[in-house]
Amino acid sequence: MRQEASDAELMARMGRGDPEALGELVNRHKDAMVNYLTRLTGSRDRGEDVAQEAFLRLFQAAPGYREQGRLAPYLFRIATNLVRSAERRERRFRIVQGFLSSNGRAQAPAAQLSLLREEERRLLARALAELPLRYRVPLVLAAVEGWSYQEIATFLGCREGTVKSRVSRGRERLRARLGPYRNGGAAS
Amino acid sequence: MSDPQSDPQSDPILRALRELPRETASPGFTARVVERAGSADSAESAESAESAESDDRETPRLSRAVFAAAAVLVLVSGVAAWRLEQERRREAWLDQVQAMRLESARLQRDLVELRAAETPPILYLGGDDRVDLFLDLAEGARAAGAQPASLSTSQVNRGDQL
Repeated sequence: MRQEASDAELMARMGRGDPEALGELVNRHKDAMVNYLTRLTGSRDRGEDVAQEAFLRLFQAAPGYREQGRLAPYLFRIATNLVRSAERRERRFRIVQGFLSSNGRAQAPAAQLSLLREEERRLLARALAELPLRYRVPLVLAAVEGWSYQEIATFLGCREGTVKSRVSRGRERLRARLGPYRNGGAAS
Repeated sequence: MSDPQSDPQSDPILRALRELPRETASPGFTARVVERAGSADSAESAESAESAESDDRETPRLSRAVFAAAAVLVLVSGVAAWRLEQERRREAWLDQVQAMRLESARLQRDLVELRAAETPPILYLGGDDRVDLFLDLAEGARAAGAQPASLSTSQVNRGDQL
């Protein structure tokens, strides 16, 4: 039985131009990337596009890649920076409609979910995507991806206390944003 | 997560975030990435992951430089506009002063001319076929100080003597 190659081995093979290694790496990380980027951008289509671009950047960087432990944080950092750059460009040119749109191809709601529940999730995803990136990234990593504060702090290059503070502030902003809806009114 | 405040079980927002449905890549995602990686377009793209990471640092530097240049430009423009406005106001003020000086000189001239042309009045007080009685007010003023027009008894008497 063939043993599964590590991320580092696949990166080394990719560096030598092996497209199969890229395929294996993509298969291994694509769902986590698409989920993370969907929550970060508020759009599944957009999340998938950025994920593709991130994998391409990874492929191009493979020859000069140095093993740093887990590959996922490295990949997530590329993806986060792509989102940050895109948002900066869009803010510069006042093109914000893309981020205000809801999921383009959201999965069909499960039969057991009520419409109200689905609406709440839609509003939550939208409110999350509209948070400032400095709160959104740690909040998504902590609450959606389940990363520890230590991992997020290493990922972001800041202290653990900063991560906790940003997660807390992001959560409070979401609470304030969703407050009217959760209290029976319409969310702003 | 060690922070009890952030415990998804205790915080409804975090719990709701945790319960969001997990998105997965669409069918054919891997094939598309591999195809793009092998295509000439992707080969032409010189940007690496490091450049993607450096986007985060280069762009703010560039943005800051552009912003600083724009700020300096706005500042210089503002100062230049302010100085032009000050100069315009100063010239307008100097024009006004010059006009006032001219007007003052003209008034002064008129006053001098009026004073030169001014002759003290001589009043005809009456008379008959033989005598006409006049009152020279200039003479009266010289004699009685600064009250040439007062009708004092002495003046009447002085007029009588005329």
